Amino acid sequence: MSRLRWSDVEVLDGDRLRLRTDGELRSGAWLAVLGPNGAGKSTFLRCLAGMEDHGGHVMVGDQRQASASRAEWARRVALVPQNPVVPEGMSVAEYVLLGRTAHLSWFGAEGADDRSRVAEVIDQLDLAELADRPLDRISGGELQRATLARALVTEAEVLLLDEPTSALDLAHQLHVLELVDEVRRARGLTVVAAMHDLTLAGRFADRLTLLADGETVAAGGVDDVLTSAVLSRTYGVDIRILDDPDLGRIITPVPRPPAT
Amino acid sequence: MTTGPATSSVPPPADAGVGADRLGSVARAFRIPAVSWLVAAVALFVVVVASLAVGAVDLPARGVFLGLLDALPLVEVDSGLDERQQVILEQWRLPRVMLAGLVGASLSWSGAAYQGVFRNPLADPFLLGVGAGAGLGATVVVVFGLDVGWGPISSIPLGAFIGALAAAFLAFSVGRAAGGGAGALLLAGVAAAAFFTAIQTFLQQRNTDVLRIVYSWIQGSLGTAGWSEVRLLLPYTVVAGAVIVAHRRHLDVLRVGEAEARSLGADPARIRVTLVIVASLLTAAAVSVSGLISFVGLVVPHVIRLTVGSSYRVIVPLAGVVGATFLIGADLVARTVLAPAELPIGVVTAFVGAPFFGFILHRSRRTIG
Repeated sequence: MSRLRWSDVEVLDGDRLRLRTDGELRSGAWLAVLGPNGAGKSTFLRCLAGMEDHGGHVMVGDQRQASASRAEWARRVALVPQNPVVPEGMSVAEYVLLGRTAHLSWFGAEGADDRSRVAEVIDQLDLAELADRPLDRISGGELQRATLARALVTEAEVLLLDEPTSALDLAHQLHVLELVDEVRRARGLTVVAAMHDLTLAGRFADRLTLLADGETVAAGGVDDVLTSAVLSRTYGVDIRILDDPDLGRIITPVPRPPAT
Repeated sequence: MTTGPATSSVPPPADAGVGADRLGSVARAFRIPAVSWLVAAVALFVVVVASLAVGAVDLPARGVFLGLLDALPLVEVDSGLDERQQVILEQWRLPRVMLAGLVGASLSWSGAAYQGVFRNPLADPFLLGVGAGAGLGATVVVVFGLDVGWGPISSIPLGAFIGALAAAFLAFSVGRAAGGGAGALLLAGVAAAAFFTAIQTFLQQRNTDVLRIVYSWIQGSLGTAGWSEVRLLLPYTVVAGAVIVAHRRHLDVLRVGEAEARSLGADPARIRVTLVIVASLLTAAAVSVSGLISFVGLVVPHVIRLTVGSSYRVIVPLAGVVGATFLIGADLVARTVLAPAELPIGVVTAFVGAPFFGFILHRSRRTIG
């Protein structure tokens, strides 16, 4: 297993800085990327996925992104997009099979290997009953699992999640993150997730990066990043941290008193 | 709206069955649609034998079948056909049926490729101006009486082929210069088609005496089909068809949009360039020997999409067989209903095909595109 490194990664939009960041992550770690809207979280994930032109370097192990083909990079880094496109009429199994694109043989037939990996991941994510159901006839939580399954069959060692829970209710948010954590442990995956829910980020991630206006405001472990002072300054709203004996840090914004 | 039972997102209890049983639906989702293939193959066989047997001189179906076997290498059977019947079968009917099949398969493959690449259900093989270009090429040859024939290739097909490639090349270069995205190519195709049609109309207005010749070519006909046309088109159909079939899963990946397709390891720009070039070449080759036969390339992929499944893994391979069957059948109708006169085959494909497609569309609850 190999670590993920990014150095001098920079994205400019004309003169405006959209992202500038450095860092590395040991394999098997979970990095939460935090920050207000427009901070550059999605841009960062797209840079890691090789979908956005950027300065600097990204490496997984000794493979450089710049010298990898699209398929080579897709076999190392997989992305679960925030709002995946849902092609009408496509079945869950066919959708998951798209994750094998980077392993296509030259005449394009799906081999026994492709099928068995798709079947294995579909079973692991409890999608077997839905495999031949069209995507437009499953729920949001099921779609999230199908998209995760599609990322897992790529056999990439780095899994990028762009706000994986934003479309889900409370129970499904927890379920998806637990699922990601389970496959991370089972497969030794490195996870990089852009997250909005700071409490859940503190629960699941062991490394955190807080971005604001494209720059890193704080990076490190839970104690370095999830402090009331740092978060309040970055989000521009008073943020309180409660310590629950069972659940750890509960992070919540404090409403302003009504104006008199 | 669907009427199925409400579905629950709660995972089934752990003891609901494990292993192979629960994965049955995965296997089901990936199975080859064997019934559809069987139906398509039987339909092709029936329509081929009928087309070979029926005509100005009817041949016995049994003799046609045995004659077909006899034509295969290493097979020797006595077809029971007399010498004259043998000549009709081998020199007239067989090349015409083969050409209709090749043209039908070619247009259907092109249509499927264009629909997938442009993610547009209205895409057809003439999208990039290939039809208008071919029409202009044929018009120029007829109007100026050009004798550009070369070897076995006569003047009109060659003119049409060159015109078709010129239009596709123009559309492609303008579209590339405008960024090369699907929308840019589409609009450049519309512009190229309008431009070539304008010149073609101008030339025809100035030379009304040749209008009939040009017009009958444009409406499409396989009346002059011989082995030389088959030999001309065959390599294009085989090679381009293989390239399009090899890209069937790429076409599925494009269905999730370019950004996601890239993140999955595909190269949408390369796929688009490859398939647009290959499909345009294939269409140009097909129309140069058959004229502009409309509707086949648009509708055949949709019929498969609506009846069998929406994955290009299924659509592309089947489109070859279904397209061939459809056009062989249409040609049979075109040359028999008003015999000894012939209807333009383009009239038949639209007159018979449109109501049939309307029926499929009406019955289907699946979504197009």
